[in-house]
Formats: sequence, C-alpha cells, structure tokens
Amino acid sequence: MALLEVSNVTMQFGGLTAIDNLSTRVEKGEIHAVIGPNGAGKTTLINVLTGVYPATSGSVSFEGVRIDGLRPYERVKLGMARTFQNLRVFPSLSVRENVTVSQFCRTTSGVVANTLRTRAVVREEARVRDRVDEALNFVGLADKAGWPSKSLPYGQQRLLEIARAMATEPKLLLLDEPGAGMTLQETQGLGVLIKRIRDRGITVLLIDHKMRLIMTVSDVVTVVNFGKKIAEDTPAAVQKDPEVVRAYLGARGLRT
Amino acid sequence: MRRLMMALVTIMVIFSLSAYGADNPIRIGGLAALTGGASMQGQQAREGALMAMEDLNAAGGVLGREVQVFMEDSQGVATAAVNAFRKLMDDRKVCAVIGDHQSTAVLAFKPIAIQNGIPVLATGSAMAVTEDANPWIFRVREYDSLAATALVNAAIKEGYKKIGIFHNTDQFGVGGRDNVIAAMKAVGMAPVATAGHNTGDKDFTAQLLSFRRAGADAIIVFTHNEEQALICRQFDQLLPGVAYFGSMSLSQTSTIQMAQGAAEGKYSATPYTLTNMDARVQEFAARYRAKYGHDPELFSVLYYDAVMMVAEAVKMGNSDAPLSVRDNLHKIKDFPGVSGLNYTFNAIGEAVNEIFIVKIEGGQPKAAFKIQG
Amino acid sequence: MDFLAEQLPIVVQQLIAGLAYGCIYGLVALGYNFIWNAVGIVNLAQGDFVMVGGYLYAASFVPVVASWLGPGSAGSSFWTALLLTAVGMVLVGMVSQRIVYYPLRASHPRTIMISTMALSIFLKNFAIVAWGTYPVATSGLFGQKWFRFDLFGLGTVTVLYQYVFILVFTAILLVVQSAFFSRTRLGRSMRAVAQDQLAASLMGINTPLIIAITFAYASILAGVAGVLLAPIFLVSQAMGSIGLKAYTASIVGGFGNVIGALVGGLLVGSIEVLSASYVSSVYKDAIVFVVLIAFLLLRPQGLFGKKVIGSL
Repeated sequence: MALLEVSNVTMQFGGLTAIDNLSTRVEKGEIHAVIGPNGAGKTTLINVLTGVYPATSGSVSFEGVRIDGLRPYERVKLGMARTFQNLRVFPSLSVRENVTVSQFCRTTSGVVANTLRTRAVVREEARVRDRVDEALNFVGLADKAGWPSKSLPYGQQRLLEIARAMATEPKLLLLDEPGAGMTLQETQGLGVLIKRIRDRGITVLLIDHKMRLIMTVSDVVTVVNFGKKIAEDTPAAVQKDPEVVRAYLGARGLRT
Repeated sequence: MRRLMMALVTIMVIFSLSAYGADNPIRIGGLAALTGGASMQGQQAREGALMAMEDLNAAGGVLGREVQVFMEDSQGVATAAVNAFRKLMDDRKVCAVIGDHQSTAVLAFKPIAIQNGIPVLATGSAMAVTEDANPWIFRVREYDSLAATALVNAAIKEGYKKIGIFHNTDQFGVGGRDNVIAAMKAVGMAPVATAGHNTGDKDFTAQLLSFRRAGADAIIVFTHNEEQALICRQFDQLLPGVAYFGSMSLSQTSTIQMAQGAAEGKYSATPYTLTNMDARVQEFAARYRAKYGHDPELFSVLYYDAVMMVAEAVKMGNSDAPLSVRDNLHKIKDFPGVSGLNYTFNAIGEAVNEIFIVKIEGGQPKAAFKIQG
Repeated sequence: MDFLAEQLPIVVQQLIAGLAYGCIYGLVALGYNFIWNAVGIVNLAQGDFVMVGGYLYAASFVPVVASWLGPGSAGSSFWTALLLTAVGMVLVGMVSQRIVYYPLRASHPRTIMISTMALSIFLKNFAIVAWGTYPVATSGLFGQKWFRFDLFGLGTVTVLYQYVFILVFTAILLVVQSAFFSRTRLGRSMRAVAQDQLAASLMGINTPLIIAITFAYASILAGVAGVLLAPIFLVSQAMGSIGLKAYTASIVGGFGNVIGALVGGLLVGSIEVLSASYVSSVYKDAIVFVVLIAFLLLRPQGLFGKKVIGSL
C-alpha cells in the first residue's frame, strides 16, 4: 500500500484545466519530486492534496483511506504537512510561537482543562515545549526562538516553515519550492536537511525548479506539463527520457 | 405561468379578506412609533387604542357595526409615517387617523390628509400641527406653549427667579425652548442660560455644570423620557438645591421608574395624572392595569379617548364617511375622557386646554395645581 | 491662573467620565478588530451585541439571580449575572456567526457585511419582542453612588463610582486578555488564524471553530460593555448606537490593531466629553464623526495600523 495514492485527479478552474487526469503513488520512506515548468500545475497539485481546493474529479487516498472530503486541518491530523511557495509564516508570532501553534493539533486536553491547568495539561505543555525545541533544533533556528518571525531573513523563514510543518508530526511532508530564493549554499544545506527528514522516517513530496537539488535528493521524479503526467522514473532515467527532453526541457537539455 | 397564477390568487385572497372578510366594519386608523427609539410611547398608544376598540365592540359596536382599529408603525420617522398613513388611507380605507405622537411625523403626512380629506386626531404637541387652523386637523393633547407657559408660571409661583432652559435639540425640544422663552418674555424675564442635548445622549455633566456657572436657581427641561430620566439622575449631584421643572415626559410612570428615585421633588406638567381622583381616571386605570399589567400613561388614555371620539362622531352623523366624521368631531361638546379631561375642539382643533402641574412624591406625580390655557 | 485652577477639577471630573466611556468604546472596538482580523469583515451588529448584553444582564439575569440569592446580595448577584451574561453572549456570538457569516464565508466581504447589517436590524427588533419597549434601569454594583475627592485643594471632583469601576475592570480585563493571547493554546491559535487563516488550517488548526470562538469572544466583549454601561445608561434599543462610536475608535486607533482599539476608544471618549463641555454639547457627536471622516480621508490606517482599509 502506497502512503499516498492519487487516482485520476482533475482540477478545473472555470474553463482552465490545471490538473488533467493525473495519477501517481508516493511510497513510504521515499523522496518523491514533482517537476515541471511554471504553470504546469505543481502548486495546484499540492493544494488539492492538502485540501485547499476540492478536486473536480478523481480521488486521493492517504494510508489507504479516502481523504477527498476532509478539510485541511483534518488532513494535518492524519499526518500530512506542507510548506508554502510564497512564505506564509505567522508574521507577528515569534519563531517559537509559530512552531508551537503547529504542535497544538497533537494535543488532546480540552479548553476547560487548559484554563484550569490540570496536571495532565502541565505535562502536555512540557511535551509541547520539547517537541518545539526539537523542531527548532532540527532546522537550526533554536537560537532565534524569541525573534518575531517577520524579522528573520528570507532563507531562515523557509527553514521556519519546515520546522513548523515538522511540529505537526507528519508522515508525509509536502515541500512547495523550498529552495526558491535561496543562495547556492543555502540550497545545498536544504538538500541535506531534506535527506535528514527522510531519515527520520518522514516521506517527502518535493516540488522545485532547482534541478541539481531534485536530482541529488530524489528517489522518484514525476514530470508534469500542462497538468498532465508525462513521465515518472528515477532521476537518471527521467533525464534521459526523450519525451521529457523534447516536450518539457526543449532543445536546451537538462540543466544539472 | 403557474407562479403568476399563484400570485394572482394570493392577491385576490388578500383583497377579499380586507374588503369583504369582515361585515363592513367601521375602520379607524392609528399611527404610532411601534419600533425604534420612541417605541415605548408608541406601544402605550397602541394599547390604549386597542382597548378602546374592544370596549366599543363589547358594547355592541357602533351603529350596530364592528369597530376595527388598525395600528400602523410610523417608526418615529417622517418617511415611514407617510407610508404608514397612505397604507391606512388606501388599503385600510379608514375614516379617521389618530396620531402620530411625534409632531415631525404629523407634519409630514398632514398635507396628504388634507388633500384626501381624512380627519387626523394628532397627538404631537408642536404648535405647527394646528396653527393653520385646517378643519381636517385636530389635536388630542396639550400643545407645547401650554406646557411651557404652565412650567414658567409654576416656577415663578414657587419663587424662582433665575431660570435656565435645558432642551432636546429635536423639533420638540427646540419648540419647547422657544415657547419657554416667549412665556418668560411675557412676564418680563429671560433665561439665565440655555443648553441643548441630543436624543440618545447619556452624559449631561457639561451642560448641567453650565447652569451652575450661570447661577440658575431652577431649570426647565424639555425632552423625552429616557433623557429626562438620565438628566434627573445626574442633576441632584451636580446642581444640589436647584429646582427642576420637566416637560410632560417626567410625569410618566415609566420615566419616574427609570430615574430610580431621582425624580423625587421635581415638577412636571401634564394633562393626565393618575393621582387625579376623578372616578373616570381611576376606573380606567384599574381596568388597564388588569389587562396589561402596568399603569396607563398619557398616550394610552389619549389614544383611547381619540378612538372614542371618532366613534362618537360616527354615531352623531350616523355615517363613517370622513367628511361626516370631521364635521361631527367639530360638534362634540365636553366629551368625557378617561384622561379626566372634557374635550371640546376649539376653532383650530385643540381639545386640551388645561394642564396639571405635578410634583413627584413617593414615586407618584402628585397634582399640585391646574393651569388653564 | 485662577481660571485654570477653577477649571481643573471640572476638567478632571469630565476626563474621568470620558476615559470611562473610552474604555467601553475600546472594548467594543476590540470586538470589531478581532472579527476583522479573523475574517476580514466589519461586523455591523457589534453595537447591537452591546444592547443584547445589556438586556440579558439588566432585564433577564439580574432579576432572576437576585431572586435566587435573596435580598442583600447585590455583590454576588452582580458577578453571577455578569458571568451568565458572558455565557449568553457566547451563544449569541456562535449562533450569529453560524447564521450570518458561515454560509457566506466564501462570498465577497461586502455581502457578509450586508448580512451583519441584517443581523443588526433583527437584534433591535428581537429586543423589542423579547424585552419590550421600556428602557430598563439597573443599579449594578454601585447604583447611583458618587465618588468625591479633593483635587490638590483646588476643588472637589465628583464622579460616579461606576466610572472608576469601568476603568479598573477594563484594565484587569485587558491584562487577562493579553495573558490569554500569549499563554494559552486557544489564544495563540486565535492569533494564528487572525494572521493567516489558510496557513493556520494547513498547520492543523480547526479554523472554522477558532473563527466561531473569535465571534463568541467579540460578542463577550460587547456584552461586558453592555453590563458596565447598564447602570449609567438605561438599557434600550438605542444602546446599539454605541457601535458607531466604537467603530470610530477602531478607525482612529487603526483597524485591526489591538492597542489601537483601546487608545482610539480613550481618545474618542475624551474628545466627546471635552467637546461637549468646551465646544458645543449639541455638536459633540458631529465632532466625533468629523474626527472619523478626517481619519478616513487623511490617515485611513489610523494611529497604529497598517494600510488595510480596502473596500468598505
């Protein structure tokens, strides 16, 4: 059983078909990349998978369970987390608070118990603190925990988004162009980070433009163009796929 | 097509209900602010008018016909009053309209009433309601200059010489101010200070302090119930030892209750007081309390009496044609009202020509003396 | 100098009243801001929530609680009735948002605002049906008791105890609120939703619930304002008009800004009272609304806000 199974998903906005009858499987423990030119429907795919848009047709299953009808926060509870192409940290919350609110979906005590601060709540809060520390350490932002998140530099806001997503304790992490706007050095660090995420047993679905990043970290690459899947294979095989080269990469060939 | 048919059928049903459903009753219209800021007075008016209808029908109706009173909501707004008046005239086909209790509303629909020949028994107190002496317009309430003159005379009689005026800035309050100034001028006096406030104001500290600065020994307050009650509450602390003469609203039980004891010792002017031991007043008040669970107020008795007078005019002329009702209203002499007043319409249509000065004692407006206009 | 010395106690007296009203405007303005931040609409029924709170307290709970607790229980019946009113306002807020906001949440904000306008009209008329047309007087903790103190030998300042109570109560409420938003899970989730609804949802926060709670909280704030005002005002339909003053406070402080709401409220309250005294008592409302229009034209972001006023 695949962790995530996408079957014949189509997404239309008015007359525009952003995703066209797309199917794919993300296996547990792999780093699965989705590439394609701008406007190919990559971000739309993530939005459909996380429940931002309901798909026009087709189905999505997570751990064998249909999740099409679930709201975004319900999917998070099942174990899906994401980052955003355009940064969406909570600007006026501190770095620590950003990660903390994302941990709340793993808490169980109710509002009343929370107000009364029962012993269970105190224990739970200690656990939340530990998880938040761990997530911040993981991406290397522990020393910035008290900063207002909007004052972080761009690349670190991306790391904060990853820490925030990790704090929801996901089984599947969807990274929407995590390398956008990063320097070469930062991108290399990101590649290492993505592998470390996978090494913790978290499956990664990665969308990016940066071929070097994709080709060095991915186990499987799905290529989409105009919302259609045109190839799916190992990075090495995809690079050589004549259809990919012709239809998507054009005469310039792959920039590696 | 089906929808159109449905609509037609509905319209026909409504028409048949309104025009033929009842056995040709005598239709009387009433206007009052049933919603909005003045709805308290409006509901009193409604209760009084409906009670008159029930009393008439319990006694076998008028000319052997049922009496129907239609109360419409003027919302205390001129445009809404005009629409409500048209509804009474065009749809309800009433033979007379009672109200509105706000002069602004009366002045708005008055030209339509005159043009279409519908007698109006207004309950607003502004001078402008009757000053042109139109035969279609009557008033069943004290007029502002009567109340203003009475309050000035009462203040002088009690020995006060430095009188301030505190008034609402709406038509009622400004008219009241001008009438008070005129009444003072007639006896060679002038106010030591005047100040205004808006409907809905809650804090009157600034204005009350201005009377203190001017050295006033009495103030005359022309405003509505809610503001009157709040001014009373703030007055005692800020102007100790100064006398207070409030317009009619202060004499009302509801205002006295809202003032939470602060109305004590203050004067007001009203054509109607529950402390009037006239048997008509007491008998009606008892029945009213039994029916509605609270005391009748001025507008309860005025609307009641107005309905009764329209019924009387119908009887006198043996007709509910508006013209006949109008002419017979002018012929009414000393009609005994449950207000304790005897009504006779004078040349310009005024029926109330006397007023009590009351002093609030023990939560009750006690009649101090009566002033004739 | 003599003139100043003579005027000072009067100014202080009025300023205390102005600040007390300002606190009330601030509480109501906070409600506007929380809803604005969470869902991007101005809740035009916010002022009517004040009225509903006032009625629930003065006309429904105070008489009932007083009869439970018997005579001589003014203090405990005030607090009990206040608590019951808060609970009632939670229901009012939740139900209102379910009917007025939730079905339209995907519509243009203007559509939702028309819907809140309908709610405002409904609540005014509901009040007539439920509580009648007579304004209700209530005494609160202090009734009509006045507090006098001597101001540096210049003269006596006379203010209602209730004004002082409003100042103290609001200050405590704001401290508790600030702890709530920075310490508790719910408070921090509410802030997250206010800053980015979609991102919050994708971080596992149950956004529809948090939005409902935000409405409930805005409604509690309005209800508390109603309870605090009831002993000074009479509780009547007209109480809803306070919404416009509070809206002015929001604009002056910067729409959406929490500190701005309070500062705006205090400014509007003081301007109102002082202009009544030293400019014109008749035009004091007009002066407040001139301030509103001036801010909308010249500084729509208010004193503390970012530029957020798009289409209202």
